[in-house]
Amino acid sequence: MERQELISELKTNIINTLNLQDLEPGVFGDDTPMFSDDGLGFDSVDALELVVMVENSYGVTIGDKDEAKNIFASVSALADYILANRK
Amino acid sequence: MNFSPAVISTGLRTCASGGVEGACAWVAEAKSDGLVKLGVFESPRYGGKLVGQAKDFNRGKNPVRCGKILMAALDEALSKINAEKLRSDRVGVFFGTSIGGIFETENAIVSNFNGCGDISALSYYECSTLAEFVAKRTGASGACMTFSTACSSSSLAIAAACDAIEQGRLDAVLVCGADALSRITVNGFGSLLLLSKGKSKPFDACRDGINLGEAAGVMVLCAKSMSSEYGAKPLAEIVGWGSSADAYHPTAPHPSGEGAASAMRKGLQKAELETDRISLYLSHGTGTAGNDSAEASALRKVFGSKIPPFTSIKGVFGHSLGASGILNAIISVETLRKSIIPKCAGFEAVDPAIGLSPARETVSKEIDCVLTSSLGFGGNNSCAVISKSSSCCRKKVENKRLYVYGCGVLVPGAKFCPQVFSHGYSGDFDIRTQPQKIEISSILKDVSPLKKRKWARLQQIGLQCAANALEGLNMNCGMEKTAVCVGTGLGMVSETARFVESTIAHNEAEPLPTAFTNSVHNAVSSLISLKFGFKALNSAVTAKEISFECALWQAWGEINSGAASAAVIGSFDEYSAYAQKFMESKHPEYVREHPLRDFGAAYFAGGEASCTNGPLAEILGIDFGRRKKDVSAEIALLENLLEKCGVQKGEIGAVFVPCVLNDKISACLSAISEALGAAEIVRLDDFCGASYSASALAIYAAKYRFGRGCHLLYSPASTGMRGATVFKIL
Repeated sequence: MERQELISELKTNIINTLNLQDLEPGVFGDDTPMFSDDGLGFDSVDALELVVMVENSYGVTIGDKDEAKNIFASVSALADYILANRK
Repeated sequence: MNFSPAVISTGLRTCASGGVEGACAWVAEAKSDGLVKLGVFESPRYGGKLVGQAKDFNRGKNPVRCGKILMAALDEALSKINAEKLRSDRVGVFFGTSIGGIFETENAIVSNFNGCGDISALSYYECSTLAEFVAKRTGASGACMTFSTACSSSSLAIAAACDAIEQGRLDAVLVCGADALSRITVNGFGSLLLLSKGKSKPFDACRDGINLGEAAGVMVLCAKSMSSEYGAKPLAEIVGWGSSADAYHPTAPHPSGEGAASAMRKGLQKAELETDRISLYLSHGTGTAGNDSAEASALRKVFGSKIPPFTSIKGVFGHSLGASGILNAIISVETLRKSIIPKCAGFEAVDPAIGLSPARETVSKEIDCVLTSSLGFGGNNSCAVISKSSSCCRKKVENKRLYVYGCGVLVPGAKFCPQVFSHGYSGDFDIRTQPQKIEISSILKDVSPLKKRKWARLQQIGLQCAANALEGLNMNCGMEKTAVCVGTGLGMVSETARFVESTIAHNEAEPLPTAFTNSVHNAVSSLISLKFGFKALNSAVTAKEISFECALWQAWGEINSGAASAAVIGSFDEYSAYAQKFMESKHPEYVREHPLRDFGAAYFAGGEASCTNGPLAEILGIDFGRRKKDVSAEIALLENLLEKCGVQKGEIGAVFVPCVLNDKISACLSAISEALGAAEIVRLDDFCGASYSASALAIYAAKYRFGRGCHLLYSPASTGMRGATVFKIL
């Protein structure tokens, strides 16, 4: 899968996983910080929901909380991680 | 008479063999052999995790694992005193658990409670059922309630028991705490990535999470001068206790430890002790990164540079969640009796970020006072100061006056309005024709959907009721002094079902962390404190049809003690297919006539100075107990309550009743109403449908049906218990 294609699929998956249907599409950019208040404002429990989603949809396991912080910095960072680690 | 709460007997079951003595020996040796591979159920995902599985409990007659463990601990505690004396209305049962006997009902939840066979086990979905079992077994017929605030549950039970004894509400309390391993907690903590890879290492630089554990503890508390009546000598005294809320985050503790520090300060203040009198701090110390560093910060805040020796017992027993508070308390008593400071099992290296070392070796040392804490989900903190012997003589703490200033009620259907209660109402409101659920999009309209997205339905209902109750009030009490006490019968039943369903259906492949964090009984009370910043006691209490009265009673106790000035008090239960099926299995005919509906009610109540608005009602008295078989004895008891409240018989306007489950209760009600000269009996379930929270509607209903006057809320619960509340609309 192309990187850009993956990014857009990830956005859809994140929106569904985190119940974000009411989010205005423009707010969710490829590089928007997902976990800071000046970005999308997700919190630690959201991160855990995403861990499960990534594992089930892409077969990529994220087992470490500290590691998760960098992986989930933005949707493009997540896409890069998945591309690098997918079996 | 000395009203200081004394510990007169204890009983324990943990992963160590041999009750209290065995557990204490393991603590002294810092033995972690009890942590073994999960063997209670097949777990494809977490089967390799180490857990503390309970031992020596299979003799019990209770149908569920958690109950069996609890009964074994109970037997030990009862064997050390004259247990016959517990058969009294003056003895209560206060139970703390996070999930009670839910493990055995997990399959029933998935099958929608259809064809699940054993109804008696099914009733253990409700964690209050275990407390009722203890009450029946011992004959303790006073107040019986279950506190369910995740990991601090049994600490809240201890604190509430101490208040009840100091205020002369009860002579003695059987305080219990129990939690067994289950799919919910194993998968839930797994989904939060909080399970350790090996054995937990509290306060260690390399700590990586918890081991779950099973435990049950029983502690018999009584007013110190009454201990000989129960054939016992005090083992120790609880000289201080205090609870607080972080009001910070649904699961994570406040990183600065401010909430935990506030609970500790309250406990020390209650004990009238300087910090240097504490010879040991028995920590919550779970071994997660967040808990241990927040707890260490709290210690620095309270003790400055003179931090007492501290330790954690989670490396021996694992984290037994709702039971961990009473386990800590019982081990505290034993450290005092045996004069030891136990080594912190699992700890090796100081975490530079913490900069503190817990006890590295077990030391024999005369110790005088132990401070112990529990810190739960929702930033729910509670602590106790336990002393070997004290010269303190506590006087009875008298009731303060309790006024209700604001109320908020939510029922499905647009036609529900205050006027439905008025005599001669000509509208067409009929709860049976109303929708089952409150339209969630119609409430909390000023909160952005992005914020609301993680709140479960019942949380949103609770928050809106609280907001309505607080609207227009000029509160005078301060956030630090405002408590939140919430009753609920079934708790977060749909979130629990969502979590269990997903776990079982996907064979543990799709854990849902948000559903898990929302599944705790205190999810509503935590959100209320988080949203409004209330930082005093935060409690969730359950006792089937009298859950609201228990919340009201607990809040009043906290206000009497001075630990809070005011409280948001409410009760919330939701409609769900599960809850409907569940109720049908228990009361089929009743539920046909009164189908289950969403319902919530909240009040803001406090002392005279807590609000500058005029009060709308005053609570005059509350009484709990097992209903008398003889109606005239029941009436005599209610007359006695009215007299204590200073209310004449003819003054009672109405008897409000949340539900009438059978003809016998109906006949009893008529007799009561006639004897008290009440003008009418008002059935609350006619207005809100079947709901364990229905009794919370009484004050609101009385205000709009009668205006000024005194009324009785009489709640004949399905458990055989009674809640009787006398109140006056002003």
